[in-house]
Amino acid sequence: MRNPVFKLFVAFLVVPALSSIALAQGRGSRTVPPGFVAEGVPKMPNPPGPAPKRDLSGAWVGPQSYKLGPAAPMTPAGEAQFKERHAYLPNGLRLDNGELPPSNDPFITCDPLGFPRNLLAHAISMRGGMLFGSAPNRILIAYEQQRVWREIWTDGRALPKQVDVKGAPDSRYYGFSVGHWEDDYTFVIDTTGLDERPWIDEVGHPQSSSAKIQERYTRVDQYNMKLTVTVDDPKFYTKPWTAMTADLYWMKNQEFSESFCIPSEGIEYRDSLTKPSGIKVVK
Amino acid sequence: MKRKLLVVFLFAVGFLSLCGAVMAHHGNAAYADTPTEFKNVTITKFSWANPHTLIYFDAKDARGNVVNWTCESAAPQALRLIGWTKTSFGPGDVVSITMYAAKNGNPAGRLNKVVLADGTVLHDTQLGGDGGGKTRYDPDAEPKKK
Repeated sequence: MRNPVFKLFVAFLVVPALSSIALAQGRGSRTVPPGFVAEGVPKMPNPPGPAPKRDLSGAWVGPQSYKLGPAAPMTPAGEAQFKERHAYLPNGLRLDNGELPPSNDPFITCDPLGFPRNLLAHAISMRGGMLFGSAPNRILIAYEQQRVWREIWTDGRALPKQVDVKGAPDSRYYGFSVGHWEDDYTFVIDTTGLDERPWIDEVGHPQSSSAKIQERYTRVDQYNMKLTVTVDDPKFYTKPWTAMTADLYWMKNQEFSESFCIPSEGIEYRDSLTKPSGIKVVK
Repeated sequence: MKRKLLVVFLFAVGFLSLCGAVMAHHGNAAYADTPTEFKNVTITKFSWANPHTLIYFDAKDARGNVVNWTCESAAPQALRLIGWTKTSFGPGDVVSITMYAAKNGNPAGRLNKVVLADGTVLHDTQLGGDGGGKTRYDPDAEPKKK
């Protein structure tokens, strides 16, 4: 870890992440221009129409105005997992004296974000898109970042009781999901069978493969939707907790751009810019 | 060991694409405190890429030799919001570039702004302000300049 080259790599990861989250928290953000609900998010004509019944279809942008955690106290097993994780935000979104800690955040290696972390980080710029669509017996949700998608079964099937044991399915980065309409405007998704490698959040909270994650999407009106994500994971936490609450807004042009981790572009950046510039961001 | 480090880097930089509009806050100490203007230089390549957009251009040095410079700006996600596109300019275009050059004397640096042949001004997000001293570009606070 003392290798300066390695430190440079880590530094490239940390500062932008801090900055992103700082803006997400409302610090240092620019004024929202007229006609926008947030930077880069055009406002829809007012007043919004009523929410259509049992329909989330379309492209949404967010999360807007989100709140994360706080996480519930962890069990010893959860603490053990958490100890192994070295976040780039170990001090709660604060960068101390420019020191950039080494991190093993899977983000760094461009590993899949996994669910539920992708609900936040697919749109860490706060302008990410998520597209609700449908197929027979299921609702599909596609995410702008890395163009990943999930399928939410609505045919009444049961979730797997176990994963990664004989006779059971393999765990997945995005888990197994089923959904139902609680009423005409709230769609509830239950997910389990998660791969344990992804982190739930930027801090590094763990998730077990038996965790039960619930998302509640409530369509408030034509252009606004509210999301609540709860985590029930007795293996790693002493009680259920709310991982995120957020607002989603209707995407005006219904079209989102691509956003990928592309290692070759990183190589070009390193070789063409940072090396010649002699950039040093870590002591 | 070197191979391992390379692998770490490869993956590491990919992460930056996730950081969106504000991913550029790194290492500005390596750049001069005052910008340099390069008038009527020729673009040789425009990499609309993560983690940072890169502008390559040829400029003559004091002895008349052509030097190829590399200038970084923000990520595409950020630049799109302030009027840039992947085709804003390209190889062969003659533009004027104001940038904060690397202190070590190598032909690299961070953009302040590009002025296209038709007078359009494209700012950097992080160091694109017109207030001097590496100020951030704030389109809401600064009048747009042609």
